[in-house]
Amino acid sequence: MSGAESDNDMVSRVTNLDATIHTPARLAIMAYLYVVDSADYIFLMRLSGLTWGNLATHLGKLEEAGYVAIEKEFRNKKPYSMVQLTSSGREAFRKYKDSLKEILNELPD
Amino acid sequence: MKPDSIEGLEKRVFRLSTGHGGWDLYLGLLLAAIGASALAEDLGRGDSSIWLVVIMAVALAMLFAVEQLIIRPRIGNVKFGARRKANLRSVSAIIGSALLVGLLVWVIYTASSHILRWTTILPVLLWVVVSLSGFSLAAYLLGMPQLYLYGLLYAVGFASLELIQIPVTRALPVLVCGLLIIAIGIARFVRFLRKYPRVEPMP
Repeated sequence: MSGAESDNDMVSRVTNLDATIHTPARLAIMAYLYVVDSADYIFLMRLSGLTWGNLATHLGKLEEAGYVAIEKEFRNKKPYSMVQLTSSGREAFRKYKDSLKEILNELPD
Repeated sequence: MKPDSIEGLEKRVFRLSTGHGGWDLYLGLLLAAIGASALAEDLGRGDSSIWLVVIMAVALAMLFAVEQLIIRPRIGNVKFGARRKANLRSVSAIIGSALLVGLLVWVIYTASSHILRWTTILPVLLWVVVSLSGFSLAAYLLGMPQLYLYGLLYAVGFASLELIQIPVTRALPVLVCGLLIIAIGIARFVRFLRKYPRVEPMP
């Protein structure tokens, strides 16, 4: 494979990375949810360092993509939500992690 | 992302969930309660087991209240995955069986101490082994290094309670070891409160 072809291949693999996950905030949320069963909004806010608004926006996008399931309920008349990765979210994160690892491994030192 | 960093991430989540000092305070209170109950008995203030049960019940109620009213509103809730749950189950099983074995041998020893006078060292050795091995295994499985120190303090406390035969004096090392763990717990709890102020409710 020539150098130009190899560069094109690399670029296409980078652009093919899952854009829904490939954002620092959403990557952090997905990574933390990947290692637990479920977490509530406050816990995710503490781990990711995001504000309520940012967290809600990013979780909305992940929910839209079918990567997370948000279980909403009321506790002491206050809204309470637990967030969990769906099986497709878990699979998408695993795939994203493997692709990124491959790309990074091929980069020269 | 390195493969081992996923494990590191899980440990970070677990540290956030348990690094508030509440459990340290509880373990310190338990040990201090053992010392306080022995002291109360030596001072003629009643049966030590009643004191022990009362203090343990109050400590447990306090831990529950602190967790619900102070800790959870600040850091929220998390449910851990299967691997962590399995580790927690293993730790519970290890501590439960260690305590059971310790209790069983203690009962046998107490019942037959007139025959086994030469084995004064037996219950001491047993409690030292139970404390060190139980806490060390828990520290290893849960990734909480402070439990190694607590195991040592529990071992020193139990040993001094049995080996020092002077009333009142025998209870002091246990009390001091318990207070040391409580001091560590307070420091961790204060650091937690400063680092994680109460979160404003979701708009």
